[in-house]
Amino acid sequence: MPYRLATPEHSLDATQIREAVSSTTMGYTEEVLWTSQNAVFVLSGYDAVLIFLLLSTAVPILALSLSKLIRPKGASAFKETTYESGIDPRGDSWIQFNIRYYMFALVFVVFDVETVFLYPWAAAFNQLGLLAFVEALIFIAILVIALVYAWRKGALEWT
Amino acid sequence: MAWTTFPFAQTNTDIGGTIAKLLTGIGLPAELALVLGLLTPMLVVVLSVLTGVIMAVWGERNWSGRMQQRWGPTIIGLGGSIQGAADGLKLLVKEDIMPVKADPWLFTLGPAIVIIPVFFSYLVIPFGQGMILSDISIGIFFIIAISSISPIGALMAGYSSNNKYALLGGLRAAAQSLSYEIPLALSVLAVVMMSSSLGTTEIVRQQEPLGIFSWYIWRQPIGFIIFLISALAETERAPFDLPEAESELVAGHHTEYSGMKFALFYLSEYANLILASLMASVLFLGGWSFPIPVEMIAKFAGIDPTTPVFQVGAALLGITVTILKATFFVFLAILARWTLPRVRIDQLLNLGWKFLLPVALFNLLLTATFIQGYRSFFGG
Amino acid sequence: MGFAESVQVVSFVILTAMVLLGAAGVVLLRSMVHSAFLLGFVFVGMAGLYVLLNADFVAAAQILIYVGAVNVLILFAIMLVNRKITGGDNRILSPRNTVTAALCAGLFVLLSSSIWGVKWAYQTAAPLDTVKEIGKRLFGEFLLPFEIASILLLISMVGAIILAQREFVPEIEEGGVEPLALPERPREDETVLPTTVKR
Repeated sequence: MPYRLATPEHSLDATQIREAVSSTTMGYTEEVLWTSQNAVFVLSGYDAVLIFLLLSTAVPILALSLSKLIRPKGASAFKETTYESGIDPRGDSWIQFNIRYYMFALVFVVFDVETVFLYPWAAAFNQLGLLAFVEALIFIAILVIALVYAWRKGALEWT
Repeated sequence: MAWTTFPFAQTNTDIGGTIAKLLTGIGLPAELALVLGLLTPMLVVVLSVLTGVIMAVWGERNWSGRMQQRWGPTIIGLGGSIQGAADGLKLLVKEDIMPVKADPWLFTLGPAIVIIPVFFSYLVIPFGQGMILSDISIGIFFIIAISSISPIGALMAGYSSNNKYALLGGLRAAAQSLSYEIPLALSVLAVVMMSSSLGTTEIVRQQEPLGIFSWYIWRQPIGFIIFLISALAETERAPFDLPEAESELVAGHHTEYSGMKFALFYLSEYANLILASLMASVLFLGGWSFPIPVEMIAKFAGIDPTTPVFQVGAALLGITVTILKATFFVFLAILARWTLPRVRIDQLLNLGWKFLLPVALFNLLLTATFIQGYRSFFGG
Repeated sequence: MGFAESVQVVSFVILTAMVLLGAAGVVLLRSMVHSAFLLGFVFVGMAGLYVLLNADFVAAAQILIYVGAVNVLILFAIMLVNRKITGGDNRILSPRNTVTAALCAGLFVLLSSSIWGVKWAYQTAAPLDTVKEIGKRLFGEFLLPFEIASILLLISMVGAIILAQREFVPEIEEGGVEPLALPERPREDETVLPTTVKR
């Protein structure tokens, strides 16, 4: 795959880039940090990402402001009370909800981090050797241990 | 930004680039032409999603009606087809009620935070050969990451309504979408491993050579079923519609919402369903690829596949096939809604954590082993 | 400065403002729930900064983990044990605030001196497929840290489960405001017939 750079005068071929990357990661070069000349953005397709982010943000903004322009204003006090199946709302909305929600979120954080580690492995799998396969096996085995532990300790029970 | 690359640049259907060239031709500055060239296909996609939502609403109400031996909407438009648009218009002019006790900022922000990620995720969906808004290299991971923002919106709506039902609904929505995110991600990972790329275009391209036989559904049957169940749960549709279970929580986190803010929730629900259907067809049913490879058809019919007419025809066929596949999954979701009873929350969490997660891990290991053993058959 | 570079600079300024102002808001807002939601906003801004640094995978992982998981966990925790901080020392120069300020200032000095001390490398260019590159490095030179990370995650989960399984039911203070109550706007008199109210 050819490497492409944002501006044509920066065009290097793949080996040059590799050399540049390895030389900068191994030892710090003597250059200054950030000037507009050397701020190179190399990822392709992110111009569209930016524009589409703005466009998808515009969707709810446009919809809400359009409806604000044309909808009738002013509601009655009865309409603005909290809905509680037709009777007067009792107490505050605060309810002692189940601590289980928290437990599931807790276990989720750990598993989420582990799956993120697995993405690079899966994407580069056919370029990695048998060693990487074994290493990933160990990684997944540890993940399974975590699951078994959470299961046995009842963190996955809804009681 | 890499403004030198168009989203459609590497392909034979360079729509954005063509528009940009056309606009520079009539004297617009190059940058503006570039932005407009990028913006035009995006507007087309957003409008198509809105149209798709209207069609999905019609499909849902029509098919639901038929499944219950009644007609569903029949009056507005051809056979009631624009009923959804009429509903949207009605919600646009409806008065907006905000409870006195609600938190006004979060109450308005909630629906926006739910809907922005859904629309933003359409960025990496390929609708046809080269018809993708931006073929960024993280591809499918982008959708999974961006759509993990939505539960925050549900929590925000639930909390800010200051209503018991809404708070419980928001919490349930968040907990449910957390629980099914891991099996979903793991089933996607197995596909990624086979195509050795996160890019959506590349994933589809890997499923092209032998037509229907190269589709991943045959080589990933377990992953496919895990994906279907998890996606159904992530879209919070029946039988997993606990966050808005009408018999217990009124309407979940959108109990207090009315008018346009409710419409945004409604819109995001259906846009999310279509997104999940498109994802399923891209990952497992070969996206835009026709069951018989188009090159093979061309060879059989004796047409040169490089002629513009054939190219346009193939592109149109690609879009049609993508839409048909997505429609199939939407239909499947509606069928599930009227076939399966709603699960309880403990059943829901048990299914996610104690069944789907172990099976998804097993599927991932199985895939890795098969790729390691039979690279020619499995390795992309 | 070309168009592409000016877009980059403007994005950088907006994202930095988003992160800094958001972080200030997280500290200064009175409502804990508002702080937690704002924290998610800060995390999204950080992801944007990662994209500007050509780290697309890290940006997406930032959103997936910090916004999608950590922030939800924080929100759950706050909604579960939320209580109004009643009483206490509300002066600006209270002992608690002084100690906190000193610690933060120390941390700031430490971090900025270490940032200042490093001779930063040019960012020349990065390979296009960052994910595969990360994969190769992760299973090449960073193999040991990778495996240790998985054990660390296991240990952290075990610890978290042990800690969370102790009973912690929030007690409602007598006479105090109930937890998680939104500031109540004046209620209209509901005994009269519905009238139009001004918003």
